[in-house]
Amino acid sequence: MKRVFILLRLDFLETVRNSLYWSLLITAIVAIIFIDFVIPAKLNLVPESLFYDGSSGKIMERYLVNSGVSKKDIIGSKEKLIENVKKGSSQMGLVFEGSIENPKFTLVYSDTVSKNNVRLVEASINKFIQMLRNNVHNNTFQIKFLRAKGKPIPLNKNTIPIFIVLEVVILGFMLVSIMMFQEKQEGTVLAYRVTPSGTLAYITSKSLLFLVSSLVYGGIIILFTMGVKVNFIYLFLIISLSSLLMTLVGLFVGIFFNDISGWFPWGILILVINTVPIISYVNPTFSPLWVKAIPSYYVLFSVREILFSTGKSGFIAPVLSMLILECIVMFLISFWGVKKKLMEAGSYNV
Amino acid sequence: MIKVNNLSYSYNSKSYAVKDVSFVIENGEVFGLLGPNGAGKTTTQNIMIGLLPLQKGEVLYDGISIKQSKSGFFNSIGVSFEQPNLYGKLTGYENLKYFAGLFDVATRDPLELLKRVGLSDVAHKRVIAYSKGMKQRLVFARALINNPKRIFLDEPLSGLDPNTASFIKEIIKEQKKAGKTVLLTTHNMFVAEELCDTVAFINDGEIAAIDSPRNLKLKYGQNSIKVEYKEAGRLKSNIFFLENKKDKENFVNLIKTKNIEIIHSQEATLEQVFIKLTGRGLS
Repeated sequence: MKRVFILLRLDFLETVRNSLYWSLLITAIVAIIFIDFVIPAKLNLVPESLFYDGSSGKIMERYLVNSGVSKKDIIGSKEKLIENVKKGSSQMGLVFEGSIENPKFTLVYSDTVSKNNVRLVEASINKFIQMLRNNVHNNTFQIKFLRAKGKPIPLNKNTIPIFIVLEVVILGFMLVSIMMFQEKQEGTVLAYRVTPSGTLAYITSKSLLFLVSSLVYGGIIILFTMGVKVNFIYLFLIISLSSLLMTLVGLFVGIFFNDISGWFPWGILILVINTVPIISYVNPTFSPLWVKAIPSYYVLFSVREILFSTGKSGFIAPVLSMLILECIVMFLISFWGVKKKLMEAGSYNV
Repeated sequence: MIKVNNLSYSYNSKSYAVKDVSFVIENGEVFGLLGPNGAGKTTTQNIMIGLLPLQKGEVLYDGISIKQSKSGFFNSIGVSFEQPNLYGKLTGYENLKYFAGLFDVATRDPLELLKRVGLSDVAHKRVIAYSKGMKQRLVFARALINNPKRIFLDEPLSGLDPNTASFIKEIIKEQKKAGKTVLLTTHNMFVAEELCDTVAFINDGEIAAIDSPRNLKLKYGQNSIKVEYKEAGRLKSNIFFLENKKDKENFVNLIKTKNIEIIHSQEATLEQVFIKLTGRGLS
């Protein structure tokens, strides 16, 4: 154990004197700024709009004003509305002509528009017409919640799990490989091999270093974006296990290369694979089985569940168990790999 | 006692870097492996310290094979590598301090060691800023941090200025006086002659001769004459062994035909013995 702490102090000094490590801390600060100040809490699904009511009774205009639409968004003429949309002062314009009985709506766009947006506007217009005709508006569908309905997650806060997972992946996986290449190039691995310290102390020291770094990094982000009302025990457990897993993967991959140029294509491939679950996170309809098999998939959703409970608390314990199992398997693989390819006689080119 | 028996090693299975090498190093002896670059000195040392696996032959430490030695074996050895392999972002002091912590035995004071190798002024400077000679001295100091019983020094004086080399040689002599066993690899005949009790000539992976430097010279050396002469305006030199009939004829011929500048009579050097035995020089 004494050796592990000595090595940990040595590894810590080597790491904190590496500019790359500090650039990751700067990344944490940038992430906090983005979450707190740049990314909005809410995003409009329908683009900002201008309106023109060409009907005789100005029914739509009255309705819009009563609904809270700003008067400056209601334009006096169709031509002026088209001109404003063309200039880019707004993304969309809606022109109402005719009467309630025989309405004619024109959508004005200056840019491309998605079919989803057109359908949303169409649905809104239908609802609006029904209301103006004094018909009772009945939804043709009902929403049934299987769990207690959670509070909507602000968009900016919803990005926190992404920043946390990216950090764990980069710190654990990438930095441990870079550290190993530096040791190979400096030849300090050879010096280490002629001491009684062995593979276990080597792996433990590096795993602890990046585990603590991940906790500090993750803790800073959470503290400055979510405050202290967070289940830190679960959060730190998830971060610790994820970091450990990625460090062990990084150690195993790193042993096959002597420098970053050889490692780069494979390392980047693994990094990219680990970021694919972000697509599922942003768009949950994309969750094929192979994406769910990537460890970062469950980590992303677990961190979200810990930060913003959506009633799926039973989801976290199995994820923790799965991570523990993956860490044990990966530890055995990394231990075998590091011993065979780095520590054993003749394993590393002397 | 260290016993090396019939050691062979191949990096590529086509040719041997070390071929059937055998020698014995007595406790408290300074043993030199003398040979040019690529002769197999470092390979032999790396097998002896467990950095390379045993392919053929055996290495015994006090009768116990290196194959059977446990990790504790490393507590008893100190290794100085030819290429300075240090943590560049750490200071010289930190390099020694943390390295010392990896051993299970009482270690020496890093600052005292740094002072001993003339690095106390730069003890708290990062190693990346050290010159090659300073790094070499730090690697040498690191080899002594665990107060080892056996010391392996791979070209310990390479890249050092004469003054620094001289006090490193003094430290090696001190280690011998303290009863330590030293294996020293070098291509420098003066180092071998000055420091080693026994020298093994190694060439193309094979041992050509083993004995004390004095005995090697007595056994294989011949007194020679070095002649410096001018030819086409350029200074040239030749060594002639007068016991050799052909050399004698060539010497007489040179005296008659060339513009001789200086003639030295000299006793055999280890390099000359090496040339005689292997047909090649040390550099």
